[in-house]
Amino acid sequence: MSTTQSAEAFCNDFLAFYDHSISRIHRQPRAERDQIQLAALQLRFKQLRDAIPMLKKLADGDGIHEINKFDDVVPLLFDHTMYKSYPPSFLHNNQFDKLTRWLDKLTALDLSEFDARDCHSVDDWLSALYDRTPLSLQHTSGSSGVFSFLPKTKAAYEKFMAQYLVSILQVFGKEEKLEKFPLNIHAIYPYFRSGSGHLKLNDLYVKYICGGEERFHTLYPGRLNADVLLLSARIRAETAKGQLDRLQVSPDLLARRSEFIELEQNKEQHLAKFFDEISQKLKGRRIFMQAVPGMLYQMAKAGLERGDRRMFAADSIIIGGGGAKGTVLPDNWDSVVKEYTGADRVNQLYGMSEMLTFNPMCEQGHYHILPGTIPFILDPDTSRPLPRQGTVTGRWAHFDLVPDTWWGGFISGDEVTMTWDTPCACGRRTPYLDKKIQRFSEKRGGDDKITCSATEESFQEAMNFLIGFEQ
Amino acid sequence: MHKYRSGIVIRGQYIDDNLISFGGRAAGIEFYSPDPRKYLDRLPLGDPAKLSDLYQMSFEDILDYLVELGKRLKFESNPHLQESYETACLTSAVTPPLIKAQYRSVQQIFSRELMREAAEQSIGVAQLEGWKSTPLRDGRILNVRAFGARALHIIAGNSPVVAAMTVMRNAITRSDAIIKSPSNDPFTALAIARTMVDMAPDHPITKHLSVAYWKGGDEQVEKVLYQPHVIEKLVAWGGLASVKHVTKYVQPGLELVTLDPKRSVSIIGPEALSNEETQREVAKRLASDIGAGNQEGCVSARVVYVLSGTDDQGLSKLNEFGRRVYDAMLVLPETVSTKPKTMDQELKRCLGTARLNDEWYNVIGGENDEGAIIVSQIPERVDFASLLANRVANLVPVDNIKEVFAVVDAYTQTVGVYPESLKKDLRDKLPLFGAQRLTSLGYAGVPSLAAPQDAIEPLRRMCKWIVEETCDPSKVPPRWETGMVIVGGD
Repeated sequence: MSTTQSAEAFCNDFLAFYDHSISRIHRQPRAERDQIQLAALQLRFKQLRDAIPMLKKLADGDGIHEINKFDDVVPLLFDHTMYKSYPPSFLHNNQFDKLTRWLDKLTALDLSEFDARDCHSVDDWLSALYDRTPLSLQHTSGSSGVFSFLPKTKAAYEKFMAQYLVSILQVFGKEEKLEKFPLNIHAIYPYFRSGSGHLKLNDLYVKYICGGEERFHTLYPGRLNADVLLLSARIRAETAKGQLDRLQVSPDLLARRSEFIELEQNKEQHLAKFFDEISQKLKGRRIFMQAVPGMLYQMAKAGLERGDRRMFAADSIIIGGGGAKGTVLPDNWDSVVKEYTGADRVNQLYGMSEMLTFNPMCEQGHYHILPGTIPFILDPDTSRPLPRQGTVTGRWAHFDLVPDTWWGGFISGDEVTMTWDTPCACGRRTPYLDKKIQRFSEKRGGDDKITCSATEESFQEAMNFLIGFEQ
Repeated sequence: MHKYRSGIVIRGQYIDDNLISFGGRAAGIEFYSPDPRKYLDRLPLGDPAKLSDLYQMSFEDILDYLVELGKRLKFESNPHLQESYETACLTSAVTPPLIKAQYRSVQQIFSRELMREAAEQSIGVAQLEGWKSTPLRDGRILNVRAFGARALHIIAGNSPVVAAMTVMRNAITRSDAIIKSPSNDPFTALAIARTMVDMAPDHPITKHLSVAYWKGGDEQVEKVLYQPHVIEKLVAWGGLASVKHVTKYVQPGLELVTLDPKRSVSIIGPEALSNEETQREVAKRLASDIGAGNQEGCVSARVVYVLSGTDDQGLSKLNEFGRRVYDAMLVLPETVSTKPKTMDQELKRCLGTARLNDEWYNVIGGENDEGAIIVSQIPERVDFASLLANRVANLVPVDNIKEVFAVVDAYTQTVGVYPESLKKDLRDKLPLFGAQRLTSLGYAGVPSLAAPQDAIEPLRRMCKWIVEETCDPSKVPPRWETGMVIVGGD
């Protein structure tokens, strides 16, 4: 295979490139991995440089026309503010035509024909984009009262699921038969069934993990919609500005007040019903549960308080990812979760909405970076790349090689410690991160983006506000 | 690591024993200062009767002292201020030329006539010197005098002028002050106090001042000092972080006076853009309000609403004006504004992203961390407006006057306005939405000592307003006859 063909194959399906073998992935020598990743990066650059308007503007401004080494792409990595760089009034005033226009600059897809006239809420807009374009737009809630929007696609999400078979279900070092989708096992999600943002993953879990809606068990059957989350973010922002009394709440949301009041009043009943159902129907079975560690921990704690212990099969798939932002998590949270679930292990992941691949933790407590992502460690202040050797601490940035319609280059707000070339005691040869990861904003005492891990807090705030709202 | 040996001043005595190490707010400086815990018994005044020596002096006597002090606070000839300046160059957020200008203005606080004006405007010298007498409707004679109080001042460190103002106000009100120096300027208040000790160690005004440093929140020190039997007023500058650990001590007998940091804005009418000459003039004024002191002060303008209109013509004029403001900012005198010491990296990233969104934001300058003017092309400020600093300001076009009220909020301090007629139109309504001080555009950075500050009158608040009244039963209906509490009404 020529380098170009290899690069194409890698970009198209890097798991297949490694024959869907986690052992092959983690055993590849560095030089080989670097070579294929660079070729893949060059291919993505060629494909996307002029196809994504914002990237083109940035690359033209810096005069960058080729990538010869990894660090050449660093000036083109998008800062995390890029995905919320639209004028906030577009979102607050439901001007989705203008918001679409902005979004169009961040994707290689052509959204110029998209008609947003019938979109009257964020949820309307998200649904319309989903139904009428290849997009499956993801959002994260933000502390300044706006969402970040990531122009992901349905196709990319489908690809995303394939990694579960390789990264989660396979055991490094053992040659095993690849499991097949759907796994036909029950899944538990201790929150809403549907919604936007990361809740969209639930549909994929139903399809690939459960093989049917009846095997998916949630705390609330309904939908957590984007507009509620946005309201919460705006409450924080307006409070910080001393202008909470000027916040306008849409009549639609106000109309849902009674719904929220009911939910709030019946919370205890919902919880009890949820736990009863899963302890009766699922006891002893192999289950799948993925949530942020805080949510897993809360559920495990509540379950143990009820007297439920070691509820499910030891080979259950429990995944905690997305960080513990804003919540105080005890050091032994994973043991508590294991105690409740009975699972042999709790998979911990390093990942983010802006990265399609997640990176599981090894037995040594290190997050090994899968080759679908090119990692960068940047100087936290200057954003210049630090050396790709030894052990370095700095700001995590990456180039995600998987997306083909949006730009995979991204600078995060995380402080990490990366070891590039000293082999990990677990036997994997991929570069790895220390367990300890912090947000720079937390370190400096600030309040940065609220990601999915604070969603429940956000929702609660919004509910409290609406319930207490004086018309 | 630069190490500095420092001291404390307690009531006319300079002490530099029992030194312990403190790290300055900026990395790279460590200073040694006497352990305040060893002096907790000496810092308080103790018996309030000891304030009486200040009443042996007249207001003119007080001014005499302060004027003499002012002469000795000439930067070029004061080694204490010079040492303070040296360390400020390491810890301050602004550049040496600006710091030097700040230190030079310390002396200017001690002008006889400016100090007299400050006293006259807020209290009235007569009421400091004696009792103001007024016959009231109910027949009594009301006499009121402004007395001094025992106070502790937690001062701000972003300008040496704050320490100077505190010393001056303390003397004028015949008060006793313990000044807690801030970690980002542990030397200026001390320098002034040392100058007072050098000049007149036994003078009452010198003896009613102490200056020390301790880490804010040090309970061992604070729970001893922040008590009503030690101090009656706690005057606190600085943000929530500095005030948060203080509020728990507030109780009857211990009053908290806060001077909060805030943000400032500007409002500009359409007349400013009408022709080139006016644009230049207004641009110069706005550049000063933005750039003076490198935008580090509460008074510095960050968001600017311009009644340019949001149509193409209006935007075109505003973009032209924005360029003029940027150009004017870059040529401000070195004593007023320089290229900032550092550029906040988060702000820099936001600026870069805004620059790419050129359909909605026109970013002028900012490629070399020299400052920038962001001209919104829509009637909305940038999402990261709360980060604006390092000479980066945001001009926002609006269509009508009703929209300008959105520029102020509970955290707005100064509003620079052009032209004068617009200020007059706004002055009765704007304060309802926020805004504490409206001023002519260009003068945001030079508030007067004689005016209210942060919507309070600090000199008045620092005093105890004592009442002495005479009620003659033949003139004031007595309670034992009328049974009434309020008399003298219609």
